[in-house]
Amino acid sequence: MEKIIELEHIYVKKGKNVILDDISLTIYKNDFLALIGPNGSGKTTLLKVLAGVIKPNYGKIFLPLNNKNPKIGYLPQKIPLILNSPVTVKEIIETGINSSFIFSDNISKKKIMQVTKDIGIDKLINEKIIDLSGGQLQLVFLARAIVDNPDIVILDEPSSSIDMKTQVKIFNVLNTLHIKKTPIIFSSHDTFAISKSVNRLACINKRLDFHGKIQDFLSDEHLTKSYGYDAKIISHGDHQ
Amino acid sequence: MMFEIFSHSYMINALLSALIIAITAPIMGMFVVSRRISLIGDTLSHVALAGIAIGIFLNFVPTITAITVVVIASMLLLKLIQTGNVNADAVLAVFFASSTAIAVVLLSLSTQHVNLWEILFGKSILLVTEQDLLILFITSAIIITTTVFVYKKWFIITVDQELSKINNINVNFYDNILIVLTAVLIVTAIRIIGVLLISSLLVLPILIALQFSSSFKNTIFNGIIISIICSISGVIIAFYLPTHPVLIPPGGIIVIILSLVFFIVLSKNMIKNR
Repeated sequence: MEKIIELEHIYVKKGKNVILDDISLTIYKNDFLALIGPNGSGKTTLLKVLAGVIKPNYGKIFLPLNNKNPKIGYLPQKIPLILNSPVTVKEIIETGINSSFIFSDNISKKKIMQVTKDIGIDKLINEKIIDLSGGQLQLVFLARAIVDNPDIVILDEPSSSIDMKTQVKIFNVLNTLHIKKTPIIFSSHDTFAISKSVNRLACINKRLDFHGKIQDFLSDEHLTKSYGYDAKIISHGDHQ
Repeated sequence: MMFEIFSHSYMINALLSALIIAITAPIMGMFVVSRRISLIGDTLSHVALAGIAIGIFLNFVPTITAITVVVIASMLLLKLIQTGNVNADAVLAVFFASSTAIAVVLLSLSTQHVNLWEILFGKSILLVTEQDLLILFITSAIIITTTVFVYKKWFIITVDQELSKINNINVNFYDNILIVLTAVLIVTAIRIIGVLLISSLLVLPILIALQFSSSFKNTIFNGIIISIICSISGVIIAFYLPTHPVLIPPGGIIVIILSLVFFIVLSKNMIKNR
């Protein structure tokens, strides 16, 4: 299976606090991977290491020889607030397209039109981002993450401030991307988001507690170990 | 009578210099305002004053010493801001104070005749030479061309530092380009506008445009239009004001107009939002 990013013995600390402790994880081309774990478990830090925002204190990151500089689409958990400039939705999405030039070409314009339609924010395109709600902002930054056909999509809690209807829309878009062979990795506490599409699950609590198929994770023992309290799986018909 | 202004070659030079500064300053201004380092114009213009003072003290060409000192100081200033050990405004305040102090000491010790009024408040419109104009034109052409080709990088660094890292943008390199170009613009425009007024031209048109513009790019465009209208009006008013035999440097009039426009637009917005 084609590897996209390989992390080996990653160790990150802030001051005296250990954030990630000896994490080894490989992201494959066909991954739709959910990263779960309790608050403060290091999910955001791990995603930032994968995206290249944070350099680990120790450990190695391997990229495949044929793509040493993969195009990464990234949705941050904390949306950067640009309060003192009238930045528009279009201008934010444009930053997801790699170019330096002041003027946008026709291909970029078409890509922006398409992604905003897919996500359902085409009517917001000329709005200033300071006028948007938290959920709308998340959709704008999601559009930025996927606008330029990235080699990998990394999303930090993509459904945290979004209603159920929009969540379904987002996961349909992500499913389409995944079908087109774009690996997707996202962090979430949302069981709907996790059960909907993923084919692999990684659970961390500073260390990597589990990675594998979602069905293999669903045991009282794994849940209790990962979340640190007595967890039980409730079955209802065929659903768990 | 109305077009008398165009019959004097010195007035053409004055109008052209005002136009070039009006087009270029808001471009740099938008990025420094958005990066919350609006006072960088004031600081660098005082560093330039120290550079001019060094030139006068050493009996060397002041423009060359000013450019050298401002470029070195701007890069050092950026480095100190990037380290994050001291707040940006504190770094700017230290550079502002120390540069002014150096300028005061060196100008006092200088044996040359120094027209301090002209350095601080700008030249009389009679004195803008073709050489001043040429230097300004070349600086402006470099700034506009650079902006066209690196705009997107500057924009990303301004709005999202994390994305800069993900896209492997060399933030330090592009920040240095921005600050060095701002510094060079300040030194070249100081010859015409003066140390104390140049930063206003950098910041005021953008602060006005921010009150009503619809996007980041639109703010730069509106800032340029406002800057052109106020600057040309300032030069024309300075010419027609019945202050003979005194000629008022147009820089002061331009900044008064920009300040008035700023307060009018701000008041209108405050009333609208009540």
